[in-house]
Amino acid sequence: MVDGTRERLEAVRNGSVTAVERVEGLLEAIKASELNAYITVDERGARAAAAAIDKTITAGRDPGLMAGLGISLKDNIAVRGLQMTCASRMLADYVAPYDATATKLIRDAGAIILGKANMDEFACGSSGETSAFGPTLNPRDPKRVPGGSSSGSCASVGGGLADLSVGTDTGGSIRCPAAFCGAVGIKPTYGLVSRYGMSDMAMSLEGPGPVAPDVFGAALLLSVLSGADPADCVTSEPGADYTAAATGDADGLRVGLVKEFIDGVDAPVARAIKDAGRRLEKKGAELVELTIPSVRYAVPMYYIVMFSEFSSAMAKFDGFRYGHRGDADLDGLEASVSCTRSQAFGREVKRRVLLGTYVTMREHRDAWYTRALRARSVLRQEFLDRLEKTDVLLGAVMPCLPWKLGELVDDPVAMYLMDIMTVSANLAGVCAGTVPVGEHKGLPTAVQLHGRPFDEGTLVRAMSALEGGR
Amino acid sequence: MPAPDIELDLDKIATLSRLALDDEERATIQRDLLAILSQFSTLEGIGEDVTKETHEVSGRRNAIRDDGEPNRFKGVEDIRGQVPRFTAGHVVVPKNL
Repeated sequence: MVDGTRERLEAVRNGSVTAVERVEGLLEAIKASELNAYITVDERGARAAAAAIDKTITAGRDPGLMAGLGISLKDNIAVRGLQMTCASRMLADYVAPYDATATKLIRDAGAIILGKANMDEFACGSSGETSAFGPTLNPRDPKRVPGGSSSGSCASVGGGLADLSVGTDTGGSIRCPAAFCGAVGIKPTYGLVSRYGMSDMAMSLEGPGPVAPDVFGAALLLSVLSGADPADCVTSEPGADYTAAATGDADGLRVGLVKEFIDGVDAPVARAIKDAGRRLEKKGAELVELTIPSVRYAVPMYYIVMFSEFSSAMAKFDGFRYGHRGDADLDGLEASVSCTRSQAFGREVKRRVLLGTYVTMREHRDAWYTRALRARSVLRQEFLDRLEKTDVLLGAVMPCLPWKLGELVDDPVAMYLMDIMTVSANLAGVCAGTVPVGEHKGLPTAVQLHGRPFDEGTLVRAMSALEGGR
Repeated sequence: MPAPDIELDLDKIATLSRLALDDEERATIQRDLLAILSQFSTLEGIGEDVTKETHEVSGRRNAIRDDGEPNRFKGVEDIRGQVPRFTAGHVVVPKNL
């Protein structure tokens, strides 16, 4: 039985499984699945790419680092010639005219693009329920949410419908669904992975990152995605081979147990963190208890910054430059734009656009947006201080296990508060990852680790030491 | 639980946001927005004594030019004057297809 990413790669390389066979298996699984993990499946493109990989291997040429692995991409990342809907009615008919940098890199590495993964509309959501194409279901329990916003990315990996996936993380959008679907997810340091070709949500917070069934797979995909890109001016660091760091040992690591990332979480989550700490200790790590006080303000800080950037990013969707055009027969540009946006945006998107407008209005800006930016400075400094004294920080990903579909969808405050453990990494610009460590009543339990900016190697090492509850 | 000191002129915000809300939406959204802002008003106090505002975290911003005072709007004629070709009231752009 071939199960891990390393074994899957090896099987294609040594010819025991052809890339075509691998892809056919995944396409069959996708067809049979009811998880709604994909918005678009590119059967023709996937088969053609697989055949080309097999030809390259037969000819004795190097097929690339990810040769033969089937990959899904969140539907806010451009793949030339495929629909890119951002799970919104607004872009239901939009076909990307070019490849995002992430897309180009994974193609060059020999990965086979299976299709575009479902997501929360314009990445607005923590549950995978706000997609205009219907909610994604959790592969471990279809009555529960898969987490969001990279719901399809994580459900496709957790449900065996893709070998790997590229998601995006603005405030936990890779880590939350990875934890809920039993996958490994990494939010890279801001600036390590190019955002070019990704539909922006909140430009100072977001970026693409890997989702995989194991730490090796996530490290491999991160190695391929990382590095400076002239098309994205915030990328500056060269990439690295992070797979070499997935050693499974923790000898000499200083691990910070963060009070704010443990207090108040549900019992199974608390147990998972405690067990993970013990495991790291057994493997030679030193545990240090510490606090990051401003984490308790992270949710308002994050949402105010995100609302502001989001409402600005959404301004381009007016039915003229991009997307759906409202069908009402109205006089005047303003009325037509308002009609278009009101028809095409879902409720959560509207809420965020309205709040972004409110907190940046001249009369409210200082009280909300400017205050949040100042608070962000405090939070970032506190993170950098703690990460000077430790190598990684350990805590929860989500305060609870996946909730039932529909349970929180009409309670935006409760939904936003669920992001308390994940948003800090984006505000502070550090790297973070989640790794499954066990199960509770059939649902996966996971922990989160934060690492220093551009020190993904240490993060991967610590994650690998926790993998599979070993 | 709405905070009493949060004033929300939803019509004005919707107009600025280019959104037309129907009556049902208006009621729900008004309630949601007040609840969210009320919850987020806990931010009051933090960072008051901090002068630095973290807009981004990469240390790199605006690679094209330095941020400065925005240029004052000098009228439509000034903009027209900057267009390479302007014929019969229309901007001339290169043919794409």
